[in-house]
Amino acid sequence: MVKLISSDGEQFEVERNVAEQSILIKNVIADIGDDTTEVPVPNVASSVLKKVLEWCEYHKDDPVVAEDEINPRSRNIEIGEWDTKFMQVDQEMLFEIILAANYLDIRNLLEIGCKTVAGMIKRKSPEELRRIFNIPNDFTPEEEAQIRRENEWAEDR
Amino acid sequence: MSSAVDLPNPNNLEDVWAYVEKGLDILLVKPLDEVALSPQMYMGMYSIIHNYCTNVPVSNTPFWGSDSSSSSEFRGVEIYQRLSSYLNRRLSTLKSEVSQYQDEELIKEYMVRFTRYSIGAKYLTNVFAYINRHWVPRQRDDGHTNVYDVYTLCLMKWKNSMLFSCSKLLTDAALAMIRRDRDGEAISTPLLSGLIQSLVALGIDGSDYSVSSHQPGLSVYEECFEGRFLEATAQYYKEESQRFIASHSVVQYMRKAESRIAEETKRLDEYLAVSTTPKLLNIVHNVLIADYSDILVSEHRALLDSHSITDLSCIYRLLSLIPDGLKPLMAEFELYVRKQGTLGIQQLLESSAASANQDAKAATRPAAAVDPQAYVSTLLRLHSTYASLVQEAYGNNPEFVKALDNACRDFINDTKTFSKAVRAPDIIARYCDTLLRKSSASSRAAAAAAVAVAATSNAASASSSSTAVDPSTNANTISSEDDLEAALNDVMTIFFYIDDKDVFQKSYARALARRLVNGISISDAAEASMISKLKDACGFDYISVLQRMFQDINISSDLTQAFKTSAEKEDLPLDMEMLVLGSNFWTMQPAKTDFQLPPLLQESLERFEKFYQSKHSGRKLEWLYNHCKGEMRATYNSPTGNGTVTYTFQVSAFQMAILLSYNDKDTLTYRELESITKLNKDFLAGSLSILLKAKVLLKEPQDATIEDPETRFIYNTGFRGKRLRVNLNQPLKFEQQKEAAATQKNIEEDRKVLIQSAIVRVMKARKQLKHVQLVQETITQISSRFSPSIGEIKKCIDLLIDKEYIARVDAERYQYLA
Repeated sequence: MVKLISSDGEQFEVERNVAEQSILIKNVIADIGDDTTEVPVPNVASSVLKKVLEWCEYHKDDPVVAEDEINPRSRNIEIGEWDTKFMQVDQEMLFEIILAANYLDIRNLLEIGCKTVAGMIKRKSPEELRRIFNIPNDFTPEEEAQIRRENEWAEDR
Repeated sequence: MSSAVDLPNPNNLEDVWAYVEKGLDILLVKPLDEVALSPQMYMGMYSIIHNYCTNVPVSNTPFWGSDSSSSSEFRGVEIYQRLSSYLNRRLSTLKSEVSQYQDEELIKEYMVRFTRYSIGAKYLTNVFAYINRHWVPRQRDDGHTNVYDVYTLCLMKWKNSMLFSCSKLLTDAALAMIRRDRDGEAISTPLLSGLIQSLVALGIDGSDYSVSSHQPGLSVYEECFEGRFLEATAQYYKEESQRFIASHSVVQYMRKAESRIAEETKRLDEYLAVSTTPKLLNIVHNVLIADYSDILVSEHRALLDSHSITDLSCIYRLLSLIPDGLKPLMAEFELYVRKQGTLGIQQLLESSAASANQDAKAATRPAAAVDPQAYVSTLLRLHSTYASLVQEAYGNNPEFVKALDNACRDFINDTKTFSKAVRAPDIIARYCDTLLRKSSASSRAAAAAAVAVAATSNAASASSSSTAVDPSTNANTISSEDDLEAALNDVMTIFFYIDDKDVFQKSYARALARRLVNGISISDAAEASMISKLKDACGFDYISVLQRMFQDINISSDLTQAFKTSAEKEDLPLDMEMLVLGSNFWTMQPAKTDFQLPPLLQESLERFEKFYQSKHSGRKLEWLYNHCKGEMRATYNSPTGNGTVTYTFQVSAFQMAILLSYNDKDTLTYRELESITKLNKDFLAGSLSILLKAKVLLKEPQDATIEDPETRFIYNTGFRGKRLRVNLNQPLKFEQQKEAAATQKNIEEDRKVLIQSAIVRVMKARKQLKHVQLVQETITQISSRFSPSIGEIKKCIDLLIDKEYIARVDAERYQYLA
C-alpha cells in the first residue's frame, strides 16, 4: 500500500499498482521509497485526488503500452463508456483533473481529459463557446468581422 | 516529520532555485550512504519545478497576434541554465579533487566519483522530469540541438569536463595495469572493467536526447582508450615474441603464442569492450603468428618428418587464425605426402626386385613385377597414415582432405617415376583377383591353384620383411566374409584415386572372366558385393559388362541342365558343361590356330549346337577351344605289380586331342600329331612341352627339339604322380602375353569411343562451341574413367569431322550436325 497525502492534508491509502499509474509516484517509490512511504502530493487537493485515484483504481489492470509504441502526435484513444461517465463532472473539476493528470504524469487520464474538452468545443459557434467556457467577448464588432473574413475558409458550411 | 510541503512562491526564481539547489546538494554531493532525500523534498523539488514552469504570467497579448514561438508560453530555460551551471561548478570541484591522484589510485578515485555522479544523475532525471517531458522536447523541436534531457546533460558535462581533462592519465594508468596483468601480476580486473564500461557509457554525442532510446556509441572508448591500448598491445607482443624466439625453440614459441592468445581472449571477457575483440585478436594474431609464419611453415616441414601430431596440430591451430595462413601448410602437406607415397612405392619395388633376384624360382618372372597384395597394402598404409594425420593434426579440415586426395592421386597414378610394370589399375585389379579367387584349400583344381598361390605368397613374405608392412593385412589369409568385405572396401579406398578407371575395368573384367570360366570364384555374394561397390563409385555404365558376364554364366548353367535332360544328350558317353558367352561382353578371343576336335567330342558339340539352334535360331556359336578343358582318366599298372592305379588328368582341349590319339597307338611323331590335331606349331609344341614335363609322354630321341617333325612322342606307361589328380592345364606363356597386349589395345580403342561419344554428347547439347570449351567439357565428362590427353581429344574431333558428326564453323568453333 502507498499513502498519498493531498495538499489539504488528507491521506489516501491505495494499492501500489493503483498509485503507480502516475509515473511521478512510480519514480518516487522506485527512487527513494518503499511500500510504506508517505508521499505528499502538494499540488492536488483531496477532492481532485480522490477523483483521480478513482480513475487509477478502475484502470489499474490496463495493459501497459510500451513507451516506444506511442506516437504522441497521432495517438487516438477511444474514450470508453466508463470514462465518458467518469468525465461527466462540472467544468471546474474537469480542468482540475486535467491539471492533476499533467502534474502526476498519468498520460491516459490526461488524454481522456483533453479529448473530453475537445468534444465540448467541437461544432460550437463562438457565441456558444463563450457561454460554455464563460469567456467575455472583448472584440469590437469591426475586429470580429475582420477575423471572420480572414478565417472564412475554415467555416463549416 | 510533517508531511506538509512548504513550497516557495513559484514566481520568485531565486527562491525556487534556492529550494532546488538544496536538493541537488543531497543528490549529487553527499556521500552515497547518506543520500536520503525525503519524499517531501523529492516531491517538493518536482512540484516547484512544475509550478515554476506552468505558472505563466497572464499575458494581455491576444494569442493570434503574437509572433513569438510556442515555447514562450512555457518557462524552463532558467531552470535548465541554472542546473547546467550548478553541474559545471560541481564538476570543477571534482576535477580538482582527482587531480592529486595518479596511476591506479587515479582510476580508483575517478571511478568512485563517476559512480556517485551517475547515480545522482539518475535521480536528477526524475526530479527534473517535468523539464524533460515538456521543455526539452520543445526546445529540440525548435532546433536547439544543444539542449539535452537532464541525464544526458549530466553525462555530456562529465565527458567534456572530467573525462577529457584526465583521459590521458587514466589511459596511462589503465595501460600500466594491463601491462602488469600481462606480466603475470595480479590486478584488480573489476576496476578496469568498470573504467572501460564507464567509457562506453559516455559514448554519447547528444544527437538523441531521449534516455530510453539512448544507444551508447563507442567514440569515446575508442578515442580515449582503444587506439592506445591496441598500439601498446602490438608493441608488447612484438618485443616479447622477439625476445622469446631468440632463446627458445619454435615448438616452445608455438606453445607460448597459443597460451598468449588464450590469455588475451580471457582478458577480453574480463574487462574489455566486446567491440575490441576482432581488433585485439587481429593485432595479436598478426604480431604473434603472421610475423612468424615463415618460421612456422618451415617448422611444419620438420614436424611432418618427425610425425609429431600435437605440434603439427598446434601449428595448424595457430595458422588457421590468420587469413590464408593455412595455404602454405596445405601445399607443404600435399608435397610431403606425394614424396612419401612415391618413396613407399619405390621401396616396395626395390625389395621385390631384390627378392626376385634371390629367389631362383621367381627368376623367370619379370624383375619389376610387383606383388599386388604388397602393393595394395603399401598404398593403404600410406593412405591411412596420412588420413589419420589429417584427422588428428588438421581437424579433418576439408582443404587438407583435398590436399591428401590430390597427393594420393598423384603418387598412385605416377607413371613417370615408375615403369609401366607398376600401373596401379592393373595391379589393383590383380589384387582383387587374388581376393576373389578360391584359395588352395578349397580349390577344385587343387594342384593348379597351389602353384599359383605359392608364387604369390613368396613375393608377399619377402616384401613384408623389408617394407615393414603390417603383417596382419599382408598375410594371405582372408579368413571370413567380413574380412573379405573389409579388404574389398580397402580396395575401393584406393580405387577412388585411380585416374585410369577404364584400365582397371578391363583388367578386372579379364580376371573375372577367368574366375567365372574356370569356376574359381570365391563366392557369388563377394563378386556381387564388389560389383555393387564399383557401381556406386562409377555408375551403371561402368559395371554393365561385368554384370552381363554374370548373367551369361547363370544362363549357361541353366542351358547345360536343359541340354542334359533333352533327347539330344542321350547315349553320349561323356558328361559336359557348356558356357555360352556373348562376344560383346567377353574379351576372350578364339585361338589363332586350326584345330581338329577328337571325334568323340565333335559329336557332343554337334548335338549341343543342334539343341541350341532349336532354342535360339540364327545365333552363331563359335567355340573357344583354347578355353575348353576336361578331365581324362588313365589307368596304369601299379608299379608294385598287383592291381592298377587310375590317375585323373585335368587337361586343355588341345592336350585332350593329343592324348586321345594314344588310345590307338603308343608312339606318334610330331608330324603325325600335327596332322591329327591340325594345331599350329605354337599350340602343339606348347601343349606337348607341358605333357613332357609332367612325364605323361616321353620324347625320343631325348635331345631332339619338340618341333622336329620326326621327333617321336611315346606314351609313358610307367607314369607315376604324387597325387591321383594331376593338373596339366597350365596356361601357355605366349598366349598370356598376347592377352595382355590385346587388353592394352582394347583400352585404346575403347577410349577413342568414349571420347568420341562424350564429344558428340557435348556438341549435341551445345550445338556450337569453341574448341577450348569443347576440350574442357569433354575432359570433365570423361575424367571419372581416365584422364584423356588433349592430343587424343583433338584426334577424335578430327575423326568426328570426317564422319560428319560435327563441322568447323570457323577457325576456332565447331557446329553439331544433326
